[in-house]
Amino acid sequence: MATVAEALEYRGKSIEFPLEYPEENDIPDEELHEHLARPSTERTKKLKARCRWKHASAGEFVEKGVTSGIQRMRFITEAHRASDGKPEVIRRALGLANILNKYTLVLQQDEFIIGYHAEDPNMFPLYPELAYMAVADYLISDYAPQPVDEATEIMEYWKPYSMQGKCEGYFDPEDLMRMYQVSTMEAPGFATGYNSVVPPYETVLEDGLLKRIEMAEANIKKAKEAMAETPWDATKGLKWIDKIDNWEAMVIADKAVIAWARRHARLAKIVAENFETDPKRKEELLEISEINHRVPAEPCKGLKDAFQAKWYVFMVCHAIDRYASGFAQTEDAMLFPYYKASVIEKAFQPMTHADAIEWVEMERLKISEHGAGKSRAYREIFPGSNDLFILTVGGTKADGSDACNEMTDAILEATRNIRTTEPSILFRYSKIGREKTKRLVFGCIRDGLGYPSIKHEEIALEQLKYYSQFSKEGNGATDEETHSWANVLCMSPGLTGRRKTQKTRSEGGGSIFPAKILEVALNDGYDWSYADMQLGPKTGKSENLKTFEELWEAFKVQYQYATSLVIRCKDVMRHFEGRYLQMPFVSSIDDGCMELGRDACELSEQPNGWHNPITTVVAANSMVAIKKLIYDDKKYTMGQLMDALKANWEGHEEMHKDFKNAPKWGNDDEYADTIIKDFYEDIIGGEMRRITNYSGGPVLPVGQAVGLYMEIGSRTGPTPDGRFGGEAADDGGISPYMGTDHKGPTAVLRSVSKVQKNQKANLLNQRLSVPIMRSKHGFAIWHAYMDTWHDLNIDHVQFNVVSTAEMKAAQKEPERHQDLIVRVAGFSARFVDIPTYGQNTIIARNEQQFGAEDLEYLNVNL
Amino acid sequence: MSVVERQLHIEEGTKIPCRTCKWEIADPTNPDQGQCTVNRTGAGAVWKRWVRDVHGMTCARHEEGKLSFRDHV
Amino acid sequence: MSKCGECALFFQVPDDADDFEPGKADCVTEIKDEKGKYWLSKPVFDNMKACGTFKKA
Repeated sequence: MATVAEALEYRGKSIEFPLEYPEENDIPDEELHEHLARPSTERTKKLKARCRWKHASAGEFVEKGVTSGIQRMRFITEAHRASDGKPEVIRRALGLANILNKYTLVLQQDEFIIGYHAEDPNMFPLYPELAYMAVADYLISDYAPQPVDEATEIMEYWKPYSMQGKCEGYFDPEDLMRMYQVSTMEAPGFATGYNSVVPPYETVLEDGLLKRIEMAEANIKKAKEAMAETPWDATKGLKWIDKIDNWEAMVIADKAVIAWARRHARLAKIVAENFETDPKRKEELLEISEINHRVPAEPCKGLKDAFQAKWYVFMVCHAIDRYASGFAQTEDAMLFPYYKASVIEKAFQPMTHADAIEWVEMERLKISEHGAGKSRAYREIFPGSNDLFILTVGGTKADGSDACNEMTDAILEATRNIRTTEPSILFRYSKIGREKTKRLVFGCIRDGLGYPSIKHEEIALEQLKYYSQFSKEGNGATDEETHSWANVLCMSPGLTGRRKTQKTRSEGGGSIFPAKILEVALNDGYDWSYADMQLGPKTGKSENLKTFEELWEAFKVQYQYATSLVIRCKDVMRHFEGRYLQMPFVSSIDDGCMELGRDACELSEQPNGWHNPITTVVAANSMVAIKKLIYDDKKYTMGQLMDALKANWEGHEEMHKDFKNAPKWGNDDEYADTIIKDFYEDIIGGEMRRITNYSGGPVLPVGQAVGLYMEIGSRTGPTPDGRFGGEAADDGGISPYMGTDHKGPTAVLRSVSKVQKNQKANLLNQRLSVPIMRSKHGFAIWHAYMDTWHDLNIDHVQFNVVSTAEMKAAQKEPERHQDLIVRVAGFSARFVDIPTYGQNTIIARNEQQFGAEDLEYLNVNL
Repeated sequence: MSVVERQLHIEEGTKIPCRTCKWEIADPTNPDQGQCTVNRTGAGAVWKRWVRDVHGMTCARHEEGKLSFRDHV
Repeated sequence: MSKCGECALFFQVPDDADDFEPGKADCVTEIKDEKGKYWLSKPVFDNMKACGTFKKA
C-alpha cells in the first residue's frame, strides 16, 4: 500500500504526514501514476486513447508506423525550380504557397481543433533546404520518405542551396568535424536544421490575416509612390526595393495561409455532408467549417476561434514554412480576452469554464501528435518525448499586478487532467501571484508531471531590460514589453507579442559541453577517449600546469575557442537566413517587419543572445577535486591523476575514492562552492559574455541538460570528480551531480543561490519525496520552499515527484505504466519510452526529504 | 589476430563494416560517420567511440544486427 | 480509362474559393487504421487519371 512519510519533531510538535487524498492509502506506490489521469470529457478520453504519439528515443520512433512524408520536400522543390530568377524572399513565399496549395489535408475523428502539418497523421515533413546531412540520415533510416529515389534527388538538388551548403564553406573542415561529433560542442544549426521561433500569435488573433495583407499592400503602394518622386534620389529610392519585395512576399504568404485554412473548412463540410452519420458530430463539423472559413483570415471573436487560429500559426511557423521546436507563448494572457468573451460574457461561442478546460486538453493532445522531422541528434537528446514544447503562464502585468487569471487556471487544470508529456509548462513565479493558481501549479507537480517548471519573474524582467539597451535598431523592449516574456524553448526568456520576438535559434540556443572541454583541457586539447583527435587549441599537457590558476586559464582558452566557434556558426547562419531562408509569413505578422518592410530573420530589435553550457557541474566538481587533492593537499600529482583516468580508475581504487569524495556542489560547502561560483561567473558566463552576436548584444549562458547529459557523458572519458568513462554527466544546468547532494534540499538552494553574475538562466533539477508532497502538508512545504527560492534570487527550479518503486516497476512491466511521466531536464518524458540507462539516471537522483532543519530554514508553518 | 584488428580500424572493402554492426549507432550529424557502443559498464553506461567512416571501418567485435532503442543511451 | 471527374470522391472547388482553378476539386478519402478514422483531402483536376480508390459517382 502507499508509503506515508514518517512523523517528525518540529517546533515542539510531532508532525504527521497523512495523505491529502485518503483513498490513495490503498494504492501501491508502484502504480500511483496510473490512477491520476482524469480526462474531463468522453471526447478527450477517446482522443487520448487513440493519440498518435510521436515519441523518439535513441534516434528511433517508439510508435510503429511513424515515418516521414515526401510532400513538403516535393512541393518546396517544385516551387524553387519554377521561381528561379525571382527575389529570394519571394521564392520563399512561393515555396510556402505551393506547399499549402497542394498539401494533402488531414481531419481526424472527434477532433475540434483541426489541421496537421504532413500528408498523413502518422507522418512528419522534412526540410531539404536546411541541412542535407539531416535528410541523408533519414534516407538510410527506417523512416525514409517514399519514393526514396525522388527524395534522394531532392536532397541532392538542395545541397548547394541549403543552409548547410551555404554556411559550411566559411569554416575550417577540421572545426566542422569537431562540432559535428557533438562532444565539446553541439553541431551548428546549419548542419542539423534544429531551430526555434516565437511567433507573434497575438497579431493574427487580434488583426486577422486579411488586415495584414491590406497593410502590406498599402505599404507597397506608398513605396512605389515614393520611388516615383522627382527629382530621383538613389540614396533613398533604392532602399524601397528590398522592402517592396518583403511586402510582396508577405502578401503571397498570407493569401496562401488563408486559402489553406479555407480548404480545411471545405473538408469539414464535405465530411459532414458525405461521410458523417452522427447528427451531433455533423453539426460540429459544420461549426468547424464556419470557424475555419473565418479564421485566421479575420480577427478572432471567441475562444474556439482563438485556439484554431493559433493552431494554424503554430503549424506554419513550426513545421510547414520551416522546422522549429517549441510552443513559445504566454498562453493565458493571449487567450484571456477570448476566454472573457466566451466564458465570462458568453458573447461569442458561449461556453463554460469546464468547456474551456476541454479545449486545452484537446490542444495538448494535438501537440502530443505533432511529429517533428528533426535530425538524428534531436531524436536522441529528448528521449521519451516528441520535441520541446513549452508554453508559459503566470507572472505579472505591466502595472506590476498579478497576471494569473481564469485562463491560467483552465490551462493548469486541463494539464493535470490529461497527463501528457507535452506541452510542458513554465510558470512565471512572483510572490504576489495568487495562491489559487499556485495550488494548481503544485497539483501538476505533485502528480509527477515534472512541470510546470518555475522561473523567477523579476530576474527575467531585469534580464530583458538589460538586453534591450544593445538593440541595433534603438528599439529594444520597453519596461512594459518585458512583462510579455515567455520561455523561447525550455529555459531562456524572450519576448512574446506583436513585435520584437525571437525569430530564429541563431539568436539564442545551442549547447557547449564543459565536462568534455575539461577532459581535452587536461590533454593539451586532445580527445583520447572518444574521437582520438585534436578537439581544441594546444594549451599544454596538464602535467606541466604548475598551479591551479594555470589549469583555470587553460580551461578558459579551450572554452573561449569552443564558445566563439559555436556562436560564429549561429551568426554566419543568421547572415544567410536573412538572404535565403526568409520567413515572409512570420514577417507579415510582426509589426516591426510590417512597418519597416524587413524580414523576420534579418531584423533584430531585441537582442537575446545565449548558449547552453551542459555538463558544467562535472567540470566544476572536477576542478574542485583537482585543486584540493593535487594543488592544495598535494596528495597526488597530475601525472598520477592522468594515469588513473586513462585506466578508467582501474588499479587506482583508493585514488578514485579520494576524488569521488572530494567536496561536491550542492551541499552548501564553502570550499567547493567558492571555486564553483567563480567557475560559473568567471569562465562559464564571464568568457561567454565577451562575445557580441548578430544583434549587437552579449551572449550569456543558459545552463541546461535535456537528455544531452547522457549523450555527452557517453562520449566523455573518466573525469576527476570520480566519474567513470561513459557515465552520465550532471542532469541540470546547476543541479548537483546525481546522488552527491547529501545535506538536503535547502543546502542545494544555498549553494545555487551563490551563483549570480554573468548568467542568463540555470536549470535546477530537484526530486522531491512523494509521501511528503502528497501529504496534507505538501502544499505548505512546497510554497514555503518556493518563496525561499524566490528570496534567494534563484533563476529556476523544476521537480520530479516520483517514487523509485514505481520507476522500477515500470522497468519490469512497461506496458502497465504508460502514464508514468518523469522530468528529464527541460522537458518531461514517458518513463517507459526512455532507454534503460537513462531511466537509471533518473532513479539515481536524490529524493529530497525535508527534515526539521529544512522546514525551519524555510519557515514553514505546519 | 593483431591488436590493430581487434580494435576499431580502417579496412578498405571490408564485408563487415561498422554500418552493419549491431553495436553501431549513427553519428548525431554526419551519416557517413557513427558511434561504437560496444563498451558497456556493469551499471549500463555506454562509453562510446567515434567511428570516422562507418563504411570502411571494422573490428573483431562486429556482430550483424540492430539493438533496441532501450539498449542505447 | 476513368477520370477523377467521374469519381464519387471528387468534390468540385467552388468558383468563389481562394484556391479555385477550373476543373479543380478536393478528392476526399476516408481511412481507417487501428487508431481510428481520418479523412484526407487532396487537390485534383477533373481530367486526371483516376487512382485505385476510384468509386463511380
